[in-house]
Amino acid sequence: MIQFNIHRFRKVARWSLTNDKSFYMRMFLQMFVVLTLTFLFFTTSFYWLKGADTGYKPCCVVVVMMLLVQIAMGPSMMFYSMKGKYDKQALLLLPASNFEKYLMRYATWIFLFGLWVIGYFGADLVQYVINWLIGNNPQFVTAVFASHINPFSINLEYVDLVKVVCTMIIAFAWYQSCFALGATFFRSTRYSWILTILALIFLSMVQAWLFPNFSSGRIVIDSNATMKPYTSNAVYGIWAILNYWLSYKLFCRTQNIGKFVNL
Amino acid sequence: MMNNFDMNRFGKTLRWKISVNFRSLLMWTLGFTLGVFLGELMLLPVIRTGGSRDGREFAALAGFFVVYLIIGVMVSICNLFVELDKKPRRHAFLMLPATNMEKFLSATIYATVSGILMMVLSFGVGDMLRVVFRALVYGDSWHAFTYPYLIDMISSGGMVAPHSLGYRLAGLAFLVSGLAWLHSFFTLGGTILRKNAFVITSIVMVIGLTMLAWFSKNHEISMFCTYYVEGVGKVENVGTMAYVLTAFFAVFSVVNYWASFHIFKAFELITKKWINYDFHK
Repeated sequence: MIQFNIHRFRKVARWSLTNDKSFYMRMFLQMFVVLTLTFLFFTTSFYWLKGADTGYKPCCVVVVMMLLVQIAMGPSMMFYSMKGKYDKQALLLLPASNFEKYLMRYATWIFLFGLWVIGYFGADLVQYVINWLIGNNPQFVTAVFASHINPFSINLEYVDLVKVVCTMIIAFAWYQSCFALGATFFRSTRYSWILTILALIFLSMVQAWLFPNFSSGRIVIDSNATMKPYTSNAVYGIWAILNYWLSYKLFCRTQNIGKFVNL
Repeated sequence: MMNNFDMNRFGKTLRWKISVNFRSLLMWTLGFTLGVFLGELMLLPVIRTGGSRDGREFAALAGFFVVYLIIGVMVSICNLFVELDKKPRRHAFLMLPATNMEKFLSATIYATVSGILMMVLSFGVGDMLRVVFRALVYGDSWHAFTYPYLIDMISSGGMVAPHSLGYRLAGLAFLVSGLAWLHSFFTLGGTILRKNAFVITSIVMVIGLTMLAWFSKNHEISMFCTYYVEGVGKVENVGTMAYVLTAFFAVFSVVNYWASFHIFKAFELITKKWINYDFHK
């Protein structure tokens, strides 16, 4: 069987999107409501937080945090829409190659990310309308956010932008690969992200103990760190590829009946 | 005939509820704890970059976690019958040898207490983990906890000592009835709606609160206000709207609980797609 055929992949995509329609709808509504409530908590006076930093600035922080989490942990949602043995059976019996099925499952986070963006703009609009209705001084979170991020304010003499961007892309790719591996390794579709985070914390502790200077984050901030950034990027890049490969191999070995892990 | 409420049977029903949901509760608590731990680790540098230091960063951090706690508890209350979405579980719960009152009360108490416990525990443990981690790795203070700021934030300003007794009592009554109404409203939402209960209930609540705020703004209605008049001193005024709302919240809390129980009594194995109640029956 040819591993990848665009027509078959299109059919797999259509099948997946049709099956997971209610899942995407539910996730979109949840993200929209949580964002709306958070924005309203900070920007209206419905609830007065004594001594807290209220206004639009905390909303921007929430948005950045959610964005980072959404991108880094996205692949852990690969099998989130699947409930029980029958959904797994349907996926395994789907007349498509493993690669096509894996690619489609992996793409779940991209659809969710798109929905998150729509939900964010929707929540921003809702908070604007409500603040306008109740007589506050309405602003768009997006506008406040854009005013805080000014790329022209970065002094390029001190920051190697290419190096920083490369490190960030590789760091996110590595995080994503870890969560993709976790999602295929642990059989629990709902709690795989928790188990992956626990495994990552344990791994980072081991790494900090064995190689105290080997940290991509530190290299970006501290130029005196012993490890060169390109070495670190290369190691994390290869590690990410290895994780994806392992994740795919585990997906190919997945069986319908099993215990805690897919081995 | 079966007594409507028996403490022993109620205890057994509650124990059944806990044992069935314990694993999921434990995993969510663990997940939220890790979320708080990692969230605090990521948020602190962002807040410090914004210029908040010398303890103010923890106040800012506490502001985020007040929202986290409130939303988390509301979601938990609203999900009181979420596991009854599947037919076998619905069947098992409906066939429990207990009265409707015992089952409803056990589900409500379980959802509320487990929600509060889960959120408070995850926040407390996550915060403690962050303090231990920062102290060990970066040499930060061992006392840099966020929870004192959070407790200070959630204490109501209208009930503290500088105000007169009448003002504080009115504030307390408003707060208690308001919280009871909020709880009853989310309980009603969780009982009647089969799918997206939290989403729909929250949207209705936000619309209601917006309408109230809009009405208050346009008719210049104030509820609790303190101002200084020269020669007279501090004047505290509890508006009529505060009393009206306190009474409204109290009455509608009872109505919501009654309606929730009434809907629960009519639960059937085969239900409609979106709601748990057949209005044409």
